[in-house]
Amino acid sequence: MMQAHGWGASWMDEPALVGHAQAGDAAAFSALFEAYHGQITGYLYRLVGDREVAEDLAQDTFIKAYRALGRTNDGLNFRAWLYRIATNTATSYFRRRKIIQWLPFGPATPEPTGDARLAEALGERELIEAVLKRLNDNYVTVLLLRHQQGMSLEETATVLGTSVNAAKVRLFRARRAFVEAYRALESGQEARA
Amino acid sequence: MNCDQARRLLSDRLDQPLPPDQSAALRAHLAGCRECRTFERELTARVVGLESLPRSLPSPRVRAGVQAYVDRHDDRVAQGLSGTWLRQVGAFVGAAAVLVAVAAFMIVLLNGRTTGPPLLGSSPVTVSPTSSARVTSSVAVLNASPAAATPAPWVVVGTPPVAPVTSTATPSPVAVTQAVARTTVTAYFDAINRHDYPGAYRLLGADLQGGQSLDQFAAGFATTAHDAVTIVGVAPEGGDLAVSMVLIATQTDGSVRSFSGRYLIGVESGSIVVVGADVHEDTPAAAATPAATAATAAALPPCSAGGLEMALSAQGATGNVALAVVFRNHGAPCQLAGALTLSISGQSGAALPIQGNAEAVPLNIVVGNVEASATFMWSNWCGSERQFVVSAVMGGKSARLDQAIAPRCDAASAPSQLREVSPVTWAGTVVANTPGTGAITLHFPDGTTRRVVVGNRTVVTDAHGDTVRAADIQAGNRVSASGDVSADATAMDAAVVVVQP
Repeated sequence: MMQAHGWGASWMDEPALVGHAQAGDAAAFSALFEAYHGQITGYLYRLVGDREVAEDLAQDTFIKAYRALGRTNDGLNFRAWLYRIATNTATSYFRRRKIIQWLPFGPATPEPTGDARLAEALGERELIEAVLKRLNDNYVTVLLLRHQQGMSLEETATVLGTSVNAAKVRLFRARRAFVEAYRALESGQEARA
Repeated sequence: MNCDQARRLLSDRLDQPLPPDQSAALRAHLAGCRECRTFERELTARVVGLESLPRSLPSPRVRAGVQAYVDRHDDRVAQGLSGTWLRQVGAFVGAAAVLVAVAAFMIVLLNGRTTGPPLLGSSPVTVSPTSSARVTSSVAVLNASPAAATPAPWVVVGTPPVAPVTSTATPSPVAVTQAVARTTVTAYFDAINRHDYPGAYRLLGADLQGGQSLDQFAAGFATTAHDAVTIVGVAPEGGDLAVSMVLIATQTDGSVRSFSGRYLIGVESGSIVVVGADVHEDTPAAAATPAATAATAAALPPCSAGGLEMALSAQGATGNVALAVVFRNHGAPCQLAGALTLSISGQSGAALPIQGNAEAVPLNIVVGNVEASATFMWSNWCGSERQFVVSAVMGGKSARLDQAIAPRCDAASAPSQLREVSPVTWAGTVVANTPGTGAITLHFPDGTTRRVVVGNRTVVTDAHGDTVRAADIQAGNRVSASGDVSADATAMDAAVVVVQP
């Protein structure tokens, strides 16, 4: 019996819960929300790097899911479907952000510090976050799905809407880019140390 | 095997075991390649690092937002069956701890139900006496029209800072704030546009419900396709709030009818509802053609130069400078249609070589007693001039702005450009009359919303590109909204909120 991720062991199995939610049962949707909203928000936070934005996107994700669930087919892989909505919502956000980027009035934004100086002040987790910010959005997405959210390769491919082989290729490129970017940032730190 | 192949296998190995032959080949390569051994070590460490990142980030704000949406859109909740819902949740839950968590989630809804309409969420706890001088009206006018495919204008609903709600043992009286009054009217038409007639009907007070059953109410929308409401002001009236609005009702045959007037928002039996209406059709069944979008405008009187004010503002950014031509009308909402010319000159008065400079663009907007604007984006200025005169001319009005903000030079070989970024959509003014953090909610045509924190002299994107301090909101600030949607964009693509000092 498949358990809803992150739930207590004695929960109703997820497919049954999804079935109820698909039939319009708001209580079932509520339970699914409880099961996933922390993970989805956490995933989006790592993707966009801003908590408020992540919360907005998470809210959008669940509202879209709520509205679309009744039109999905039986046997829906709810988790993969939900992460796909979240990923698409984040992609849309990235696209919007590129369309128009405003700056605040007031004092000019300080010049960004150099990598080495930045790395000096960072711990391991902050260093990982800083590296993620330097990577292509597509790479960050696949890394987070596979490693932060602990999805299988197959599930990652489903969320991305690609073949397993395509997901493998993207994972390889993303991991390589991550290792290289981390090394670059870390070496800057060591040079200053 | 070369290094690239070896590193691919090192990556693949993290996802699934390698076949024996590949595994052996990889081992052989690693034995003789120090760089790949380093890569292997680093890859393992980095993956461990990624896996150590916290996976979950529970958010009360996400929960509240989704709850509010479900609350608004789930009939069973709105019909007061939350208790049933709670029992259903109980049936799903086997683990007691989780039951407590979900029950708490439901209790919020139940409390919301007892202290105010679920549609509106929490309300400030101040007393609002019921008005004895309410406006009555024909309910038939309320049935101006329902749902459809045509996109509604963006509507900004303000949620200015409110005093903290203190917990009380007894249910607190509900007060109608300007934001809540706006939301109520918006929610009423949202419900109609969703064909949620029970939801809309529940938002009517006893007087307005009184003359007709729900079925009769719903039947009143048989020939309407979509209602687009634009709120143009909110003002106290007795103990209630009168929401002035302009309503464009598209009929199922494609024709358009235009209404204007006021809805009176007040409290009845602890719920915030539409307690009165004074709404009139502007043109008697104007029989506008479907193609005539502009006909929606024709229903409003044209703006007269005497009642109209025009101003210019420039907003600095690195890649673009936004130039806003702002209109304000004194009096009833009017239609401003004509050619708007924006030009940028140097100190000598000569027009600068900017593509689109001084070209007339058609403008057709509704101007209420709050500001409406047309926005232009100026980009890629590589010239030597650093002092500019911006002027706008329309309908016998002109405005001038001397300013020194220029957009960044992105490419000297490319022309500098000035382009209008309309369609400008606009909504009512939000007065942030209490210092503190404020927020507005952008309502998009697809029904989704986005909360944006705003502050004094701050430009905020819907991507929350800026952080606002509590002290940024000062008495008298006004918030207006404009939109910039690229040609291939969806409704959610971009929104800009400008807080004016």
